Amino acid sequence: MPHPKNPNVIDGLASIRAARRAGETGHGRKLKTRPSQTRLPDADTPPEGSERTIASRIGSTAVPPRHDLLCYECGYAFVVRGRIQKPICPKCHCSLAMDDLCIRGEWAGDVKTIGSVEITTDGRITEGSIVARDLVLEGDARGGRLRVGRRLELGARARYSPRQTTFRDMRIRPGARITLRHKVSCRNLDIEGRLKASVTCEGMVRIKAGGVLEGALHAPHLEVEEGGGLRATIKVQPHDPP
Amino acid sequence: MAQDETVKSTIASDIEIVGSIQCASDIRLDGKLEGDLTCKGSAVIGDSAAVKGNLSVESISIMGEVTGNVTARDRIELKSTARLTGDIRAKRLTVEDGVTFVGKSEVNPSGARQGPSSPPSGTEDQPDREPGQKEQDRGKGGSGRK
Repeated sequence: MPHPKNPNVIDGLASIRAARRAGETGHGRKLKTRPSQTRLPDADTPPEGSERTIASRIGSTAVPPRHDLLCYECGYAFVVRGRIQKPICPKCHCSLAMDDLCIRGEWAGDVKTIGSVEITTDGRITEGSIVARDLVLEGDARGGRLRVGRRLELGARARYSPRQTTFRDMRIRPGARITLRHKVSCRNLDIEGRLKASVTCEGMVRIKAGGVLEGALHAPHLEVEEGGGLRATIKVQPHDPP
Repeated sequence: MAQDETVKSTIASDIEIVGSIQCASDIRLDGKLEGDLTCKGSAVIGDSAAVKGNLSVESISIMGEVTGNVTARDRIELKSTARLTGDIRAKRLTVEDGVTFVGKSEVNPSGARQGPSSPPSGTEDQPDREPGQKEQDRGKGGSGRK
């Protein structure tokens, strides 16, 4: 169907209209339609016997990964979606290092990264500070200051100075046997090893199978998996409002 | 854990008992109980149940309110609607998120007794050292850094 103004251009919409008109008036060959033999399920109804939910369908779409970042210079928390290349803090405009580091042997110095740092079993921090988003501590970090933006993971031979360490979440790794003499305060706590401590949490405490908590616990939420051990004085209820 | 079809005795939600219950088989409790429950089978404390007393069972699933100590020879399940004030003792424990629980817990799946005589933990954080008390063999450098 040529365009009304330019005969060299074929207008697709006009062509469809013309074809439909021809079918209605009998000038052209009318398309025969018949209902489908197999009825498709409704869009919102999952097929019988299927456990697929709407959420699972949504989850299968390509969503760029979300990164919760914390500027180690000014402490500003922000979100970056997609791939991170050279993150810059939107508040203080400083360029942030995002290396993942592994410390083996003796180390004295400052480390700042929004990535993760692992201190292996033979790693030993003698001086300086480590600022990271996640810290996996398997060795001895008593000589340094640790500032963990998100999660501190304690392994079998982990040692740290509680007065020089800040973190939000804590995880006791499988096989670890940790005894903390000081009172531990954190947001979320995952226990997969053995922890002996007096713990106060603001969020969720999860004791996985094989994990054991001894001591005292005060938290608003507690989950104990089958096989988890609990030998403690427990208060699981929402914290009193200030 | 006992399902509804296997429960033999049922205390309905409109029943209130003041006294002790001894049961040789499984029991489901939806009413109110002011007294102890001793059960050789498994017990289910329903959503609407309220118990003031000690429970001694083979295994138990709690969805309602319990004020008292719970002792299970096998396992205790605290469902998300459970409200428990008292001590628990069992071989196995399952706790769902949403539970309100105030008391002491003695759950050791491995079965090994943990007491003051148990061996010390492999890792202990040491108390903070005074400044200047650091070790002699300190060295600077990133010898181990990748």
